[in-house]
Amino acid sequence: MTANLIGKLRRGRAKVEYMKKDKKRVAQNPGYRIVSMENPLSPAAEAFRRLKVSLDFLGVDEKLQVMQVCSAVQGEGKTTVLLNLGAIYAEDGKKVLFIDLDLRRPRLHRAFKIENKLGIADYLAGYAKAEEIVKHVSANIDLINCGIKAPYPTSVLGSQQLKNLVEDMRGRYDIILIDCPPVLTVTDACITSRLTDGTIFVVSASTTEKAAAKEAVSVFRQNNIRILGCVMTEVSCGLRGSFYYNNTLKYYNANYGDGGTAGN
Amino acid sequence: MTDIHAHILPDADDGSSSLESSLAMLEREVAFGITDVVLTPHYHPRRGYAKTAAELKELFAAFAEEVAARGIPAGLSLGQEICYGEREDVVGMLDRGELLTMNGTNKVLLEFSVSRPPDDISEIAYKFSLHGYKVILAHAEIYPWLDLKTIASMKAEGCFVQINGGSLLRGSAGAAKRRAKALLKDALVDWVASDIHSFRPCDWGKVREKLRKYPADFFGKIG
Repeated sequence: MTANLIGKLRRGRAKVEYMKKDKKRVAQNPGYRIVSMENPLSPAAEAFRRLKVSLDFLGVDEKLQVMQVCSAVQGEGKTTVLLNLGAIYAEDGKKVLFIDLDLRRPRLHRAFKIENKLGIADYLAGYAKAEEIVKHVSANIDLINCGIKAPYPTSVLGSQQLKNLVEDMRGRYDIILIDCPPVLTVTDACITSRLTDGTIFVVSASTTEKAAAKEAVSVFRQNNIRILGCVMTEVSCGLRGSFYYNNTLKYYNANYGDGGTAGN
Repeated sequence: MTDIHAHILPDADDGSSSLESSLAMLEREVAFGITDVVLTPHYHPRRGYAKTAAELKELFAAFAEEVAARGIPAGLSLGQEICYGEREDVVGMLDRGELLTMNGTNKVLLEFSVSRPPDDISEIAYKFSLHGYKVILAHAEIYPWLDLKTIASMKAEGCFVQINGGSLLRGSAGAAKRRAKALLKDALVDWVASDIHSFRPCDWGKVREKLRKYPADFFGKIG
Protein backbone atom coordinates (compact mmCIF):
# COMPACT_ATOMS: atom_id res chain seq x y z
CA MET A 1 0.00 0.00 0.00
CA THR A 2 2.03 2.88 -1.20
CA ALA A 3 1.60 6.17 -2.90
CA ASN A 4 4.24 8.00 -4.87
CA LEU A 5 5.65 11.10 -3.28
CA ILE A 6 4.90 13.89 -5.70
CA GLY A 7 5.57 16.93 -3.57
CA LYS A 8 7.35 18.06 -0.46
CA LEU A 9 6.56 21.32 1.30
CA ARG A 10 8.37 22.97 4.13
CA ARG A 11 6.75 23.97 7.35
CA GLY A 12 5.91 27.59 7.86
CA ARG A 13 2.49 28.14 9.31
CA ALA A 14 1.81 30.48 12.19
CA LYS A 15 0.47 28.72 15.21
CA VAL A 16 -0.89 30.16 18.41
CA GLU A 17 -0.14 28.07 21.40
CA TYR A 18 -1.74 28.09 24.78
CA MET A 19 0.11 26.24 27.45
CA LYS A 20 -1.64 24.22 30.08
CA LYS A 21 0.85 22.74 32.48
CA ASP A 22 2.57 20.11 30.38
CA LYS A 23 -0.23 19.72 27.90
CA LYS A 24 0.00 21.88 24.82
CA ARG A 25 -3.16 23.34 23.48
CA VAL A 26 -2.55 24.39 19.96
CA ALA A 27 -5.00 26.48 18.03
CA GLN A 28 -4.41 27.27 14.42
CA ASN A 29 -5.41 30.44 12.76
CA PRO A 30 -7.16 29.32 9.61
CA GLY A 31 -5.94 32.23 7.57
CA TYR A 32 -4.63 30.67 4.41
CA ARG A 33 -1.67 32.00 2.55
CA ILE A 34 -1.27 31.59 -1.16
CA VAL A 35 2.48 32.02 -1.38
CA SER A 36 2.44 31.19 -5.05
CA MET A 37 0.53 34.43 -5.58
CA GLU A 38 2.06 36.55 -2.81
CA ASN A 39 5.57 35.73 -3.74
CA PRO A 40 5.87 33.80 -7.00
CA LEU A 41 9.66 33.75 -6.83
CA SER A 42 9.92 32.17 -3.40
CA PRO A 43 11.23 28.65 -2.91
CA ALA A 44 7.83 27.74 -1.48
CA ALA A 45 6.14 28.70 -4.73
CA GLU A 46 8.82 26.72 -6.52
CA ALA A 47 7.88 23.66 -4.47
CA PHE A 48 4.30 23.97 -5.67
CA ARG A 49 5.52 24.38 -9.23
CA ARG A 50 7.41 21.13 -8.83
CA LEU A 51 4.21 19.49 -7.63
CA LYS A 52 2.39 20.79 -10.67
CA VAL A 53 5.07 19.40 -12.96
CA SER A 54 4.78 16.01 -11.27
CA LEU A 55 1.07 16.08 -11.91
CA ASP A 56 1.64 17.08 -15.52
CA PHE A 57 3.78 14.01 -16.02
CA LEU A 58 1.23 11.82 -14.32
CA GLY A 59 -1.33 13.08 -16.75
CA VAL A 60 0.64 12.38 -19.90
CA ASP A 61 -1.61 9.62 -21.16
CA GLU A 62 -4.87 10.87 -19.81
CA LYS A 63 -6.26 14.20 -18.93
CA LEU A 64 -6.19 15.08 -15.27
CA GLN A 65 -8.74 17.81 -15.19
CA VAL A 66 -10.74 17.36 -12.02
CA MET A 67 -8.72 16.58 -8.92
CA GLN A 68 -9.51 16.53 -5.24
CA VAL A 69 -7.12 17.14 -2.41
CA CYS A 70 -7.63 14.95 0.60
CA SER A 71 -5.89 13.95 3.80
CA ALA A 72 -6.28 11.49 6.65
CA VAL A 73 -7.20 13.91 9.39
CA GLN A 74 -7.87 17.61 9.83
CA GLY A 75 -5.23 20.32 9.70
CA GLU A 76 -2.63 18.73 7.47
CA GLY A 77 -2.64 21.33 4.76
CA LYS A 78 -5.25 20.20 2.25
CA THR A 79 -6.61 23.63 1.57
CA THR A 80 -3.21 25.30 1.43
CA VAL A 81 -1.97 22.75 -1.09
CA LEU A 82 -5.12 23.10 -3.15
CA LEU A 83 -5.01 26.90 -3.23
CA ASN A 84 -1.34 27.12 -4.08
CA LEU A 85 -1.53 24.42 -6.72
CA GLY A 86 -4.46 26.22 -8.28
CA ALA A 87 -2.55 29.51 -8.24
CA ILE A 88 0.33 27.84 -10.08
CA TYR A 89 -2.03 26.53 -12.75
CA ALA A 90 -3.58 29.98 -13.05
CA GLU A 91 -0.14 31.49 -13.43
CA ASP A 92 0.32 29.15 -16.38
CA GLY A 93 -2.71 30.70 -18.01
CA LYS A 94 -5.09 27.85 -17.23
CA LYS A 95 -8.61 28.59 -16.16
CA VAL A 96 -8.96 27.23 -12.65
CA LEU A 97 -12.06 26.50 -10.60
CA PHE A 98 -12.03 25.73 -6.89
CA ILE A 99 -15.01 23.90 -5.44
CA ASP A 100 -15.45 23.67 -1.69
CA LEU A 101 -17.08 20.31 -1.05
CA ASP A 102 -16.07 20.26 2.59
CA LEU A 103 -19.65 20.92 3.56
CA ARG A 104 -18.97 20.24 7.22
CA ARG A 105 -16.13 22.66 7.80
CA PRO A 106 -15.95 24.98 4.80
CA ARG A 107 -12.83 27.12 4.68
CA LEU A 108 -11.97 27.82 1.06
CA HIS A 109 -13.79 31.17 0.92
CA ARG A 110 -11.55 32.51 3.67
CA ALA A 111 -8.51 32.44 1.44
CA PHE A 112 -10.15 35.06 -0.77
CA LYS A 113 -11.73 37.10 2.00
CA ILE A 114 -15.28 36.60 0.87
CA GLU A 115 -18.35 35.64 2.84
CA ASN A 116 -19.64 32.11 2.73
CA LYS A 117 -22.88 33.07 1.02
CA LEU A 118 -24.65 31.50 -1.97
CA GLY A 119 -22.57 28.40 -2.53
CA ILE A 120 -22.83 24.88 -3.77
CA ALA A 121 -25.19 23.85 -0.97
CA ASP A 122 -27.55 26.68 -1.89
CA TYR A 123 -27.46 25.54 -5.52
CA LEU A 124 -28.15 21.92 -4.68
CA ALA A 125 -30.98 22.94 -2.38
CA GLY A 126 -32.47 25.02 -5.18
CA TYR A 127 -31.90 28.39 -3.52
CA ALA A 128 -29.45 29.67 -6.11
CA LYS A 129 -28.71 29.36 -9.80
CA ALA A 130 -25.50 27.92 -11.21
CA GLU A 131 -24.35 31.33 -12.45
CA GLU A 132 -24.81 32.91 -9.04
CA ILE A 133 -22.57 30.53 -7.13
CA VAL A 134 -19.45 30.91 -9.28
CA LYS A 135 -17.36 33.79 -7.99
CA HIS A 136 -14.46 35.31 -9.81
CA VAL A 137 -11.82 35.75 -7.11
CA SER A 138 -8.54 36.30 -8.90
CA ALA A 139 -7.02 36.32 -12.37
CA ASN A 140 -7.94 33.01 -14.01
CA ILE A 141 -9.37 31.71 -10.75
CA ASP A 142 -13.03 31.15 -9.96
CA LEU A 143 -14.46 29.76 -6.78
CA ILE A 144 -17.59 27.93 -5.74
CA ASN A 145 -17.83 28.23 -1.99
CA CYS A 146 -19.86 26.00 0.28
CA GLY A 147 -22.80 28.16 1.30
CA ILE A 148 -25.47 27.22 3.81
CA LYS A 149 -24.99 24.31 6.12
CA ALA A 150 -26.39 21.14 4.60
CA PRO A 151 -27.92 18.82 7.17
CA TYR A 152 -27.05 15.61 5.26
CA PRO A 153 -23.76 16.22 3.45
CA THR A 154 -23.32 12.65 2.20
CA SER A 155 -26.61 12.55 0.35
CA VAL A 156 -25.97 15.99 -1.11
CA LEU A 157 -22.54 14.96 -2.36
CA GLY A 158 -23.87 11.81 -3.97
CA SER A 159 -26.53 13.68 -5.91
CA GLN A 160 -26.85 13.55 -9.68
CA GLN A 161 -27.26 17.30 -9.76
CA LEU A 162 -23.76 17.82 -8.38
CA LYS A 163 -22.38 15.36 -10.90
CA ASN A 164 -24.06 17.28 -13.69
CA LEU A 165 -22.67 20.55 -12.39
CA VAL A 166 -19.11 19.23 -12.33
CA GLU A 167 -19.55 17.74 -15.81
CA ASP A 168 -20.80 21.08 -17.01
CA MET A 169 -17.82 22.86 -15.44
CA ARG A 170 -15.42 20.46 -17.19
CA GLY A 171 -16.33 22.20 -20.39
CA ARG A 172 -15.62 25.65 -19.03
CA TYR A 173 -12.43 25.24 -17.03
CA ASP A 174 -9.03 23.68 -17.63
CA ILE A 175 -8.48 22.60 -14.07
CA ILE A 176 -11.02 21.95 -11.34
CA LEU A 177 -9.73 21.42 -7.80
CA ILE A 178 -12.04 20.09 -5.13
CA ASP A 179 -11.59 20.55 -1.39
CA CYS A 180 -13.04 17.76 0.70
CA PRO A 181 -13.12 16.67 4.34
CA PRO A 182 -10.49 14.35 5.82
CA VAL A 183 -11.06 10.76 4.84
CA LEU A 184 -10.79 9.12 8.24
CA THR A 185 -13.35 11.39 9.89
CA VAL A 186 -16.16 11.14 7.36
CA THR A 187 -16.88 9.29 4.16
CA ASP A 188 -17.47 12.42 2.08
CA ALA A 189 -14.13 12.18 0.29
CA CYS A 190 -14.95 8.70 -1.02
CA ILE A 191 -18.17 10.03 -2.49
CA THR A 192 -16.67 13.16 -4.03
CA SER A 193 -13.87 11.09 -5.55
CA ARG A 194 -16.46 9.76 -8.03
CA LEU A 195 -16.54 13.24 -9.53
CA THR A 196 -12.80 13.44 -10.03
CA ASP A 197 -10.03 12.02 -12.16
CA GLY A 198 -7.82 11.42 -9.18
CA THR A 199 -7.03 12.28 -5.59
CA ILE A 200 -3.99 14.07 -4.24
CA PHE A 201 -3.21 12.73 -0.81
CA VAL A 202 -1.76 15.21 1.68
CA VAL A 203 0.26 13.97 4.63
CA SER A 204 1.80 16.18 7.25
CA ALA A 205 5.32 15.11 8.06
CA SER A 206 5.08 16.49 11.56
CA THR A 207 1.56 15.79 12.76
CA THR A 208 0.02 12.88 10.83
CA GLU A 209 0.42 9.58 12.61
CA LYS A 210 1.86 6.82 10.53
CA ALA A 211 -1.06 4.52 11.29
CA ALA A 212 -3.56 7.21 10.26
CA ALA A 213 -1.85 7.76 6.92
CA LYS A 214 -1.75 4.01 6.26
CA GLU A 215 -5.38 3.63 7.24
CA ALA A 216 -6.32 6.48 4.91
CA VAL A 217 -4.53 4.86 2.00
CA SER A 218 -6.29 1.57 2.68
CA VAL A 219 -9.63 3.37 2.75
CA PHE A 220 -8.77 4.84 -0.66
CA ARG A 221 -7.87 1.39 -1.98
CA GLN A 222 -11.02 -0.22 -0.63
CA ASN A 223 -13.13 2.38 -2.35
CA ASN A 224 -11.19 2.08 -5.56
CA ILE A 225 -10.09 5.67 -5.41
CA ARG A 226 -7.22 6.61 -7.61
CA ILE A 227 -4.42 8.24 -5.64
CA LEU A 228 -2.33 10.37 -7.95
CA GLY A 229 0.35 10.71 -5.34
CA CYS A 230 1.22 11.94 -1.93
CA VAL A 231 2.23 15.44 -0.92
CA MET A 232 4.25 15.82 2.26
CA THR A 233 3.54 19.04 4.10
CA GLU A 234 5.08 20.63 7.16
CA VAL A 235 8.39 18.95 6.46
CA SER A 236 10.56 20.37 9.20
CA CYS A 237 13.93 21.19 7.87
CA GLY A 238 16.35 18.83 9.41
CA LEU A 239 17.85 19.50 6.07
CA ARG A 240 18.55 23.07 7.01
CA GLY A 241 21.81 22.14 8.69
CA SER A 242 23.04 20.17 5.75
CA PHE A 243 25.62 21.61 3.47
CA TYR A 244 23.81 20.62 0.33
CA TYR A 245 20.47 22.19 1.24
CA ASN A 246 21.97 25.41 2.52
CA ASN A 247 23.82 25.80 -0.69
CA THR A 248 20.71 25.06 -2.70
CA LEU A 249 18.96 27.94 -1.02
CA LYS A 250 21.92 30.23 -1.45
CA TYR A 251 22.19 29.28 -5.08
CA TYR A 252 18.48 29.73 -5.54
CA ASN A 253 18.39 33.13 -3.89
CA ALA A 254 21.43 34.37 -5.75
CA ASN A 255 20.31 33.29 -9.18
CA TYR A 256 16.58 32.89 -9.26
CA GLY A 257 15.05 34.40 -6.15
CA ASP A 258 14.21 37.94 -5.32
CA GLY A 259 17.32 38.65 -3.34
CA GLY A 260 16.65 36.49 -0.34
CA THR A 261 13.50 38.10 1.03
CA ALA A 262 11.60 34.91 0.36
CA GLY A 263 13.44 32.70 2.76
CA ASN A 264 10.46 30.46 3.27
CA MET B 1 -10.22 49.36 36.51
CA THR B 2 -12.78 48.99 33.79
CA ASP B 3 -15.94 46.96 33.96
CA ILE B 4 -16.73 46.22 30.33
CA HIS B 5 -20.06 44.44 30.78
CA ALA B 6 -22.71 46.06 32.95
CA HIS B 7 -26.47 46.46 32.66
CA ILE B 8 -26.66 49.65 34.65
CA LEU B 9 -28.32 51.96 32.14
CA PRO B 10 -31.86 52.56 33.46
CA ASP B 11 -34.93 51.45 31.48
CA ALA B 12 -32.86 49.98 28.66
CA ASP B 13 -33.28 46.31 29.45
CA ASP B 14 -33.75 43.97 32.41
CA GLY B 15 -30.73 45.48 34.17
CA SER B 16 -32.28 48.32 36.09
CA SER B 17 -35.80 49.65 36.09
CA SER B 18 -35.21 53.00 37.73
CA LEU B 19 -32.66 55.75 37.87
CA GLU B 20 -32.30 55.31 41.62
CA SER B 21 -31.34 51.67 41.41
CA SER B 22 -28.95 52.44 38.56
CA LEU B 23 -27.20 55.07 40.62
CA ALA B 24 -27.03 52.73 43.60
CA MET B 25 -25.48 50.02 41.37
CA LEU B 26 -22.94 52.45 39.99
CA GLU B 27 -22.02 53.77 43.43
CA ARG B 28 -21.46 50.23 44.61
CA GLU B 29 -19.16 49.57 41.66
CA VAL B 30 -17.19 52.73 42.38
CA ALA B 31 -16.89 51.75 46.04
CA PHE B 32 -15.14 48.59 44.91
CA GLY B 33 -12.57 50.57 42.98
CA ILE B 34 -14.05 50.49 39.48
CA THR B 35 -13.11 53.69 37.65
CA ASP B 36 -14.64 53.12 34.23
CA VAL B 37 -17.81 51.32 33.22
CA VAL B 38 -18.98 50.39 29.76
CA LEU B 39 -22.76 50.28 29.84
CA THR B 40 -23.89 47.37 27.72
CA PRO B 41 -27.66 47.04 27.45
CA HIS B 42 -29.02 43.93 25.76
CA TYR B 43 -29.90 43.66 22.12
CA HIS B 44 -32.08 40.59 22.38
CA PRO B 45 -35.18 40.93 20.19
CA ARG B 46 -36.58 37.55 21.20
CA ARG B 47 -36.67 38.71 24.80
CA GLY B 48 -38.03 42.08 23.78
CA TYR B 49 -34.92 44.19 24.23
CA ALA B 50 -34.45 45.90 20.92
CA LYS B 51 -33.93 49.58 21.63
CA THR B 52 -32.44 51.43 18.71
CA ALA B 53 -28.97 52.92 18.86
CA ALA B 54 -30.41 56.45 18.88
CA GLU B 55 -32.69 55.65 21.83
CA LEU B 56 -29.80 54.13 23.76
CA LYS B 57 -27.58 57.11 23.09
CA GLU B 58 -30.31 59.40 24.39
CA LEU B 59 -30.74 57.32 27.54
CA PHE B 60 -26.98 57.25 27.97
CA ALA B 61 -26.61 61.01 27.65
CA ALA B 62 -29.32 61.60 30.25
CA PHE B 63 -27.81 59.07 32.63
CA ALA B 64 -24.26 60.39 32.21
CA GLU B 65 -25.54 63.88 32.99
CA GLU B 66 -27.23 62.64 36.14
CA VAL B 67 -24.08 60.79 37.23
CA ALA B 68 -21.98 63.88 36.66
CA ALA B 69 -24.47 66.01 38.58
CA ARG B 70 -24.25 63.69 41.56
CA GLY B 71 -20.47 63.70 41.36
CA ILE B 72 -20.02 59.94 41.09
CA PRO B 73 -16.43 59.48 39.89
CA ALA B 74 -17.01 56.91 37.14
CA GLY B 75 -16.02 57.24 33.51
CA LEU B 76 -19.00 56.03 31.51
CA SER B 77 -19.10 54.83 27.95
CA LEU B 78 -21.71 53.05 25.90
CA GLY B 79 -21.69 49.67 24.23
CA GLN B 80 -24.21 46.94 23.61
CA GLU B 81 -24.44 43.26 24.39
CA ILE B 82 -25.64 41.80 21.14
CA CYS B 83 -27.37 38.46 21.00
CA TYR B 84 -26.17 36.68 17.89
CA GLY B 85 -28.64 34.84 15.71
CA GLU B 86 -27.91 33.47 12.26
CA ARG B 87 -31.23 34.68 10.91
CA GLU B 88 -30.50 38.28 11.68
CA ASP B 89 -27.93 40.22 9.79
CA VAL B 90 -26.14 41.47 12.90
CA VAL B 91 -23.03 42.50 10.99
CA GLY B 92 -25.12 44.50 8.53
CA MET B 93 -26.94 46.20 11.39
CA LEU B 94 -23.59 47.17 12.90
CA ASP B 95 -22.48 48.52 9.55
CA ARG B 96 -25.62 50.60 9.28
CA GLY B 97 -25.14 51.89 12.82
CA GLU B 98 -28.31 50.26 14.13
CA LEU B 99 -26.31 48.41 16.74
CA LEU B 100 -23.52 49.74 18.90
CA THR B 101 -19.94 48.62 19.22
CA MET B 102 -18.04 48.97 22.48
CA ASN B 103 -17.37 52.65 23.12
CA GLY B 104 -17.23 53.35 19.40
CA THR B 105 -14.26 51.02 18.83
CA ASN B 106 -14.34 48.05 16.47
CA LYS B 107 -15.01 45.60 19.31
CA VAL B 108 -18.41 43.96 19.60
CA LEU B 109 -19.73 42.27 22.74
CA LEU B 110 -21.52 39.16 21.55
CA GLU B 111 -23.68 36.66 23.40
CA PHE B 112 -25.37 33.51 22.17
CA SER B 113 -28.26 31.29 23.09
CA VAL B 114 -27.25 29.24 26.10
CA SER B 115 -29.18 26.17 25.03
CA ARG B 116 -28.50 26.09 21.31
CA PRO B 117 -25.17 26.80 19.62
CA PRO B 118 -25.19 28.80 16.39
CA ASP B 119 -24.62 26.72 13.25
CA ASP B 120 -21.60 28.72 12.24
CA ILE B 121 -19.71 29.16 15.48
CA SER B 122 -16.36 28.64 13.75
CA GLU B 123 -17.26 31.25 11.14
CA ILE B 124 -18.26 34.02 13.52
CA ALA B 125 -14.85 35.58 14.09
CA TYR B 126 -14.17 35.50 10.35
CA LYS B 127 -17.55 36.94 9.45
CA PHE B 128 -17.10 39.90 11.78
CA SER B 129 -13.47 40.43 10.82
CA LEU B 130 -14.47 40.78 7.15
CA HIS B 131 -16.30 43.95 8.15
CA GLY B 132 -13.52 45.10 10.47
CA TYR B 133 -15.09 44.07 13.78
CA LYS B 134 -13.52 42.12 16.59
CA VAL B 135 -15.69 39.91 18.73
CA ILE B 136 -15.65 39.84 22.51
CA LEU B 137 -17.31 36.63 23.70
CA ALA B 138 -19.53 37.74 26.56
CA HIS B 139 -19.56 35.44 29.59
CA ALA B 140 -17.81 32.71 27.62
CA GLU B 141 -18.00 30.33 30.57
CA ILE B 142 -21.77 29.95 30.74
CA TYR B 143 -22.31 28.01 27.51
CA PRO B 144 -22.40 24.22 27.95
CA TRP B 145 -21.71 23.75 24.23
CA LEU B 146 -18.68 26.02 24.04
CA ASP B 147 -15.59 24.04 24.98
CA LEU B 148 -12.08 25.29 25.65
CA LYS B 149 -10.79 24.08 22.32
CA THR B 150 -13.36 26.08 20.40
CA ILE B 151 -12.64 29.15 22.50
CA ALA B 152 -8.90 28.76 21.93
CA SER B 153 -9.39 28.50 18.18
CA MET B 154 -11.71 31.51 18.19
CA LYS B 155 -9.06 33.44 20.09
CA ALA B 156 -6.53 32.42 17.51
CA GLU B 157 -8.80 34.04 14.94
CA GLY B 158 -8.87 37.30 16.86
CA CYS B 159 -11.73 37.00 19.33
CA PHE B 160 -11.51 38.25 22.89
CA VAL B 161 -12.91 36.45 25.90
CA GLN B 162 -14.84 37.97 28.77
CA ILE B 163 -15.96 36.00 31.80
CA ASN B 164 -18.27 37.01 34.62
CA GLY B 165 -16.65 37.67 37.97
CA GLY B 166 -19.67 36.16 39.66
CA SER B 167 -19.02 32.79 38.04
CA LEU B 168 -15.90 32.39 40.15
CA LEU B 169 -17.71 32.75 43.45
CA ARG B 170 -19.58 30.32 45.60
CA GLY B 171 -23.15 29.92 44.55
CA SER B 172 -22.58 30.00 40.81
CA ALA B 173 -23.47 26.99 38.71
CA GLY B 174 -20.80 24.30 39.07
CA ALA B 175 -20.11 23.79 35.40
CA ALA B 176 -19.75 27.51 34.67
CA LYS B 177 -17.38 27.90 37.60
CA ARG B 178 -15.30 24.97 36.36
CA ARG B 179 -15.12 26.37 32.85
CA ALA B 180 -14.27 29.86 34.13
CA LYS B 181 -11.38 28.47 36.16
CA ALA B 182 -10.13 26.40 33.25
CA LEU B 183 -10.22 29.48 31.01
CA LEU B 184 -8.21 31.46 33.55
CA LYS B 185 -5.73 28.64 33.96
CA ASP B 186 -5.19 28.46 30.22
CA ALA B 187 -4.70 32.22 30.05
CA LEU B 188 -7.58 32.57 27.63
CA VAL B 189 -9.38 35.36 29.48
CA ASP B 190 -9.02 38.99 28.41
CA TRP B 191 -11.60 40.62 30.66
CA VAL B 192 -13.40 39.79 33.86
CA ALA B 193 -16.57 41.84 34.14
CA SER B 194 -19.59 42.05 36.39
CA ASP B 195 -22.53 41.54 33.98
CA ILE B 196 -24.30 43.40 36.75
CA HIS B 197 -28.12 43.51 36.85
CA SER B 198 -30.13 44.92 39.72
CA PHE B 199 -30.94 41.35 40.72
CA ARG B 200 -27.36 40.17 40.21
CA PRO B 201 -24.92 42.29 42.14
CA CYS B 202 -21.21 41.65 41.87
CA ASP B 203 -18.92 41.33 44.86
CA TRP B 204 -15.73 42.69 43.36
CA GLY B 205 -13.81 42.23 46.60
CA LYS B 206 -14.24 38.47 46.54
CA VAL B 207 -13.72 38.28 42.78
CA ARG B 208 -10.43 40.12 43.02
CA GLU B 209 -9.39 37.77 45.81
CA LYS B 210 -10.03 34.83 43.47
CA LEU B 211 -8.12 36.48 40.65
CA ARG B 212 -5.07 37.25 42.75
CA LYS B 213 -3.16 34.14 41.66
CA TYR B 214 -3.42 34.95 37.97
CA PRO B 215 -0.85 37.44 36.74
CA ALA B 216 -2.80 39.06 33.90
CA ASP B 217 -4.71 42.34 34.08
CA PHE B 218 -8.38 41.54 33.58
CA PHE B 219 -9.70 45.09 33.80
CA GLY B 220 -8.02 46.81 30.89
CA LYS B 221 -9.60 49.71 29.05
CA ILE B 222 -11.47 49.08 25.83
CA GLY B 223 -9.49 50.71 23.12
